[in-house]
Amino acid sequence: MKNASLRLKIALMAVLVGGLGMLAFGAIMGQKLETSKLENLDELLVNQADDFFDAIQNRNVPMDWNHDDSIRELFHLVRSFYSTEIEQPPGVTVYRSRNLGMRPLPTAIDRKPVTATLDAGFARVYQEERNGLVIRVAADLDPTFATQRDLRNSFAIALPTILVLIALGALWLTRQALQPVEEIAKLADTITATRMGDRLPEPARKDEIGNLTVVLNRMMDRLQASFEQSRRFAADASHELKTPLTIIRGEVDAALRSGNLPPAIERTMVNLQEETGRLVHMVEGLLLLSQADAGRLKPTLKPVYLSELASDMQEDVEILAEPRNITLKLQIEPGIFVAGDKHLLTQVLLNLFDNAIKYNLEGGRIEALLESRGTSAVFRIGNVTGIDIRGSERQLVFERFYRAESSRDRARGGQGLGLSICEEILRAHGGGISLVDDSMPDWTTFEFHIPLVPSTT
Amino acid sequence: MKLLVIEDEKKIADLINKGLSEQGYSVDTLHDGTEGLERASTQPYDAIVLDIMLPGRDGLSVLRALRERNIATPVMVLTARGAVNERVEGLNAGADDYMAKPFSMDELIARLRALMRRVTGETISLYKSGELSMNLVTREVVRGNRKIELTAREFRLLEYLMRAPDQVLTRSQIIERVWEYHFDPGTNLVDVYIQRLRRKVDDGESHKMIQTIRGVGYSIVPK
Repeated sequence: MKNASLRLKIALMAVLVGGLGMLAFGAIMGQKLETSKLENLDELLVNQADDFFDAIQNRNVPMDWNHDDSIRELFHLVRSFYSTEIEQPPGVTVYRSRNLGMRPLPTAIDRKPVTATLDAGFARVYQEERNGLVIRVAADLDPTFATQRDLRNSFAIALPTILVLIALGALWLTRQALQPVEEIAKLADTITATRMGDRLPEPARKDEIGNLTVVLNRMMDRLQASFEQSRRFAADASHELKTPLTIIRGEVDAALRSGNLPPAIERTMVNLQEETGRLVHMVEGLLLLSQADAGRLKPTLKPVYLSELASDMQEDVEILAEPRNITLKLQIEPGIFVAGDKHLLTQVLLNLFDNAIKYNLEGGRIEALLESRGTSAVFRIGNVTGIDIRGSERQLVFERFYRAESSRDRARGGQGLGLSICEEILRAHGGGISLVDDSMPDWTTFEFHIPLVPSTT
Repeated sequence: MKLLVIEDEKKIADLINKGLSEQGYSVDTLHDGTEGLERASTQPYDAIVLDIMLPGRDGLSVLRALRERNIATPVMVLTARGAVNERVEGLNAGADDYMAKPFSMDELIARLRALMRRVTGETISLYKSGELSMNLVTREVVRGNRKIELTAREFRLLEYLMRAPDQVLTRSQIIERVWEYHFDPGTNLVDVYIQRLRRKVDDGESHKMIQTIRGVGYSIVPK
């Protein structure tokens, strides 16, 4: 239910509310109808009894219950539709309708109609006593109940039909109502970091939807402002860092070049030089990322012989991997040319090789493959990491300064920028990089693709 | 050789001044674009080091103005941004070479030398260090009369060492100049290549030319 669409939820709610409402309505109406029918019937029974008393009283000769003429005359005066029983004095039945046969009517409370069971079914019985004369009249309840039954039956058929109609109606209505929202969602989805300036078209109408659009647009204005601020900050900061770095580096180089430093100072200077180099590299990485964020990482594309670039690296990578007894298996398809910036692509390959060495086991293996696939060059590199990069972490490996929890030891070096830099460089080349779902346990495999130079042959 | 440095950041200007003076160049330093253009148009220089971000008049406009006045002095542009398009812009405006801050002095000097050689038509094709010689055109390396076969990387490494005989080169410097990429200087890369080079150059010789200066770096000692 949590993930069902709003439309479905609203339709179900409408059906539920409609259904319950109709059931309640039906129950109350049925009850009311039954009560009023019984009241009508009771009134008729009371009138009937009255008529009998009146007829008996108004006779000029007293009733002789043993004489058939006398009874015929009585019934001539009273139009009777119901079974009747007369006692005089109370307890002595002097008359009983023929349709009752030998069975007496059940005794009832004086002047209070009750429901009783007769042979034929349920009946309503009314009893009244005046001057030692008891008159009991009864009416069959069956016709009344039959109406109720009919009503219930038609209700049982009508209810599901109406509920289906309500459901369909609710679905249609909500679709009408939510369509603009869906359109807004679709448009909003296309507004990304690289198309930050885009806005939703604001409808002329000033209803809830129109208001939502305006509010969303205003929110995006604010987001864009703060996004650009942080973007500019990164660019400015790395830019400003470069001047002092140039000075530090120059001073250290000059001191080392002078050649007359005491050995301890000289070694300190060498350390400073190495750390400055690291800092320079990091600042350059940050600058590259901020350029990419600003959409200004636009490499000059020239044909780069990727096969050669990769095979030239083989020796260096083997040397770098050697202290940890890591073996490299590199398969390169010859003749692969891509359009790109050689320096940036070198950075991508080296970053990946570097990671494969750093996040590897002692005596581990690296397997890399460069091949053409369709119109793309594909480079795949995998190694045993012993780290299982789990679902949520898979997205995070490309995030800046992210390092898998299990690999967060400084000994391995690096700033966690390598993969995000690779991602941005490849994106700027019209390619991409992803973490491959590898069937081999404990392996981590990355794969990047980049368009081949269209064949000129 | 006379050089003009136009750079508003005083400390960087001083560094360049110091580095170039050490190499025997005479250096003039200016901190403003308008002044720089004025000076470069009126006095002859062998090369100009020009920062892009300048007060007065920015570097690119100085450069364009110079070229419009038909002043062909080789210009090395310095920029802090290192954006690819800025490099293209600089070269389009008539720069002869380009360096992004933070640069190493060492490389700036090497590139300035190459620039000036290109202009004078003078080319160095032979390096000699004691009995070791290296021909940059035929790529032949000879010690005494023994020919030495080197891979491309080993050749570049030896070339870098031979360009500065008796001078100690640190791992950082070597990586930056020979690999042109930032590797962690703590790795064994340089050591392995030095070892290989040593085997080819010094094995069987009584004088070991390639020397290790512990904790600092490497140096080539001709004698």
